[in-house]
Amino acid sequence: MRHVALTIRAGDLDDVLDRLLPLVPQGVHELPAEEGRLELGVYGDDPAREAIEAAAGAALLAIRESDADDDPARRRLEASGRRPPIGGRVVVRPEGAPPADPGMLDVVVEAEHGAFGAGTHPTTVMCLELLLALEPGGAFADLGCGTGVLAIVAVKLGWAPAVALDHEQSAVESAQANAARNGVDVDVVRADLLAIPPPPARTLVANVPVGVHEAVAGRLAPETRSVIVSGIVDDDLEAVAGAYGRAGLAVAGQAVRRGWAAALLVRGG
Amino acid sequence: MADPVDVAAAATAGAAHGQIASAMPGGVALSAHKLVEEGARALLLILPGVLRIDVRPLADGLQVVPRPLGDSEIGWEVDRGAVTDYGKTAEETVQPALVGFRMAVWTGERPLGGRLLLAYTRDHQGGPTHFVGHAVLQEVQEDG
Repeated sequence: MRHVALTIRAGDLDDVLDRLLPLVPQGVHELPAEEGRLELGVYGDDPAREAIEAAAGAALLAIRESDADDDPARRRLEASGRRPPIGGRVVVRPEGAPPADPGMLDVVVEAEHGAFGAGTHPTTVMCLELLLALEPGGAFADLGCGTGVLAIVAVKLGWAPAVALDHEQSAVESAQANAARNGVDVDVVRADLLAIPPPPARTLVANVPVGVHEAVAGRLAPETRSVIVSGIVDDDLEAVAGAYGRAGLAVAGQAVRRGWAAALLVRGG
Repeated sequence: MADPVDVAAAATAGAAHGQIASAMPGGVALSAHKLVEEGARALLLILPGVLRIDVRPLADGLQVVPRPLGDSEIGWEVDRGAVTDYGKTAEETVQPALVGFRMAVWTGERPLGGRLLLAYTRDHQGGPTHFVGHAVLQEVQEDG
């Protein structure tokens, strides 16, 4: 299900709703945003994004579109601004959202500069779920880090030291800002994993395209015991697992959600 | 001055929302049914250029929001005689809950007066709420 989030000036709410609500029988979710702003959420495939933008008119400050969770209960949490716990333990949320309930690992991530990994994409969620299944400890590397959310969670869980790599400068800046935001030490580096080998960390998470997986798998350090792979679709899982298999790792767990796939591979022996 | 009660416009504007509209002597009857997710503000009834009635089911109650449209102004109060459960949580509510409001709408020289009845049933686990709304708005008679 599609989710369209509109950021508008709070003072324009009534005028925007006058134009928007007649187009949206399912209704609109209002969430507080930064000072003087509101976020309006529209869940469902109708109306067209252009019609929503037109209804917001000059009050529109920003618009983004994403996949909403298919599970109604989790979607209700999202709509209320409360992010559902991932793996029952980790809440990844933007700064303006309500904090996680006591006992949850509360991770604040802003997807600045369009960096990937705000915590809701199936690949991020599956990587975190697989990460939670591992015993924390030792060096950690987040390959294709985007916002750095996976490295940040890893440090909070007990991995150290942590390094995060991305070939996009905007992602590097976003990950640095998010690490600081969460008060964790993550060494964020701009790097092209097609050109250099992955760091020799005990645990790797690689949320990257198939070609990058093949390059990473071909240069894996012997110290690496576990690799969580994602960023791939279901049809590519076998080929990616095969590439890591040639490096001595075997599939120990996997998940598929909304066509995206993730797997945990561990070194045998 | 144009008649503020445009039944055809109400039928057209409310069609996508499950609303039907019928002419009444000096006014209009509106009714609609809708399923609304918790926390969502949704249009339930609309009379273009006059008013819109929005509903928002919440974890700790229900919001019913009258919105004047155009140049109209709305006077609005809970009809205590009709209320059974307004503002209560799902767990506190006998299903379906029934609430009522009295309203007056000034759109020109002659005010409209009317009532809204709202029945709703909600999932106790935070699921969507079923709403059935029915409103009648008629010109206020000078002797009444």
